[in-house]
Amino acid sequence: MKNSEILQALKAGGALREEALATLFVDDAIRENIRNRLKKYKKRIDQYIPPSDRVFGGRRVDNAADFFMLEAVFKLDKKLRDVRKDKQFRGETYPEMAGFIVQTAVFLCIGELRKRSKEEASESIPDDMAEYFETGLLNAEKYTVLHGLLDQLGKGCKEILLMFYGGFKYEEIAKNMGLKSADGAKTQKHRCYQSLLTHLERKPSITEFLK
Amino acid sequence: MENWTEEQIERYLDGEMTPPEQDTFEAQLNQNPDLRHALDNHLEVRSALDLLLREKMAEIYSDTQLSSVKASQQRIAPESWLQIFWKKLRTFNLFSSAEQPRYVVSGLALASFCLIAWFGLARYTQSYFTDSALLHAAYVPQNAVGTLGGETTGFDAGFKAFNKKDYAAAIPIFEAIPATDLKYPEAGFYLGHAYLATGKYEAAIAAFDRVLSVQNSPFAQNAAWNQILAMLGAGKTQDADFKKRLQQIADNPNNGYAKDAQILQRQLHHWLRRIFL
Repeated sequence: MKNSEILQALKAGGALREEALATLFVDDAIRENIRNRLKKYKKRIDQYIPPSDRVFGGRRVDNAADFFMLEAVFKLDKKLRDVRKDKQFRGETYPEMAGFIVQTAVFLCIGELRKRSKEEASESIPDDMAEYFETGLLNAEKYTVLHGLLDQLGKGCKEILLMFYGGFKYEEIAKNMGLKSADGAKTQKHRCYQSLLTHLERKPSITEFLK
Repeated sequence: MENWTEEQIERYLDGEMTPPEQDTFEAQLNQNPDLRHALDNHLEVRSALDLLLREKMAEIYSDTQLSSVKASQQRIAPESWLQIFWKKLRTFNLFSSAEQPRYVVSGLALASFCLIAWFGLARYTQSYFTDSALLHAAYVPQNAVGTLGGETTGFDAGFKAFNKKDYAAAIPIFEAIPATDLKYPEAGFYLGHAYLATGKYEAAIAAFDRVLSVQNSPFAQNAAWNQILAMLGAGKTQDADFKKRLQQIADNPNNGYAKDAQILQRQLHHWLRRIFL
């Protein structure tokens, strides 16, 4: 996939999005850029965010630059599908997108360092970046709880919800899940979502835990 | 008053509203705290689903890293055609694969290379490591540096002929000098060189013996070394006498030819001589 196609593919969602993500993750220019920007924080990163804490999606990512790149790409991916206009990513080109990833990765790192070391950041962070300070340094228990919860929703709900929030179209979901039509997939997704809502409303502590 | 439904919130967050619907809904959001609260609840539920997306993203990342490692390993250590050829040869699978032409060509190329290398080395050995080649490389023609003086019959005439490299004329003159003459050993020295220069190695060996039979002869070291060269020319490198004499020169640090003798010993034991001669 060409660089110029990545942004559109991420927006399109589904299988194209996954291909675009795979292309982004091997983009040496972005990784190198983040690595260079984080060089001066290396000692503090090793001290306050040790490799054992660099866990993304339940998997340990030893390389700090890669870890923050993943977090930044995740933020970008969310913004690309956010319907709320004030939360959307406004860039149109690949360099804008790459710049966003690098900058966000650096801000996330500084924010996390500031939080953990309780020191003032040596670099100023824009106020609207406050939302990024919460990185996904999540423990494995959350995944266990989430999977347990989703398994209770009904057959195929986990897969359908994952595909839907991964930007797959209803047609693709229907095809992948062996459903008769896109409408069937839509109905099924609605049921799963409502079921999840009900479960979480009953157990607000779980919602709080999964935050 | 509640003029919204849970389904509307879901449709809004899923991006399934038409633009006018979306505008209306957002206008309501700004005016209705209950709707805002309900929307926040939905967002919290969705943040739990973020974990799923993270998990999937981590899976994609891990796959790319594995692919990169594999690709870099392939870049670092690509199997050379020689390795492939050797592997095929070891498994007796050389002529049974779809890549047969490639391996046959590679095999022929390898065989040709070996053949050319063999002939090249043989030729090199012939040029630089035969007895004759070693002799010509080691032999320094003797310039007549002068005589020990004293008058004797015919020696001066022989010495002049030797200086002019007229060995054919010098040899009979030096041969004619009787053993009773004081210059007999000196004449033997020049006679040895004259024979060596003309390729008469056996005669040269005998002539140098004349010099070596005299104790403390000033020509002894030179005669001994050149006798070795004469023996080399005569093809006597396997003789025990040759080896012994050469070793004696090489082992004597006071002998001016010790270094030359050591070099000659190494050349005589060179692996190229063992293989090709």
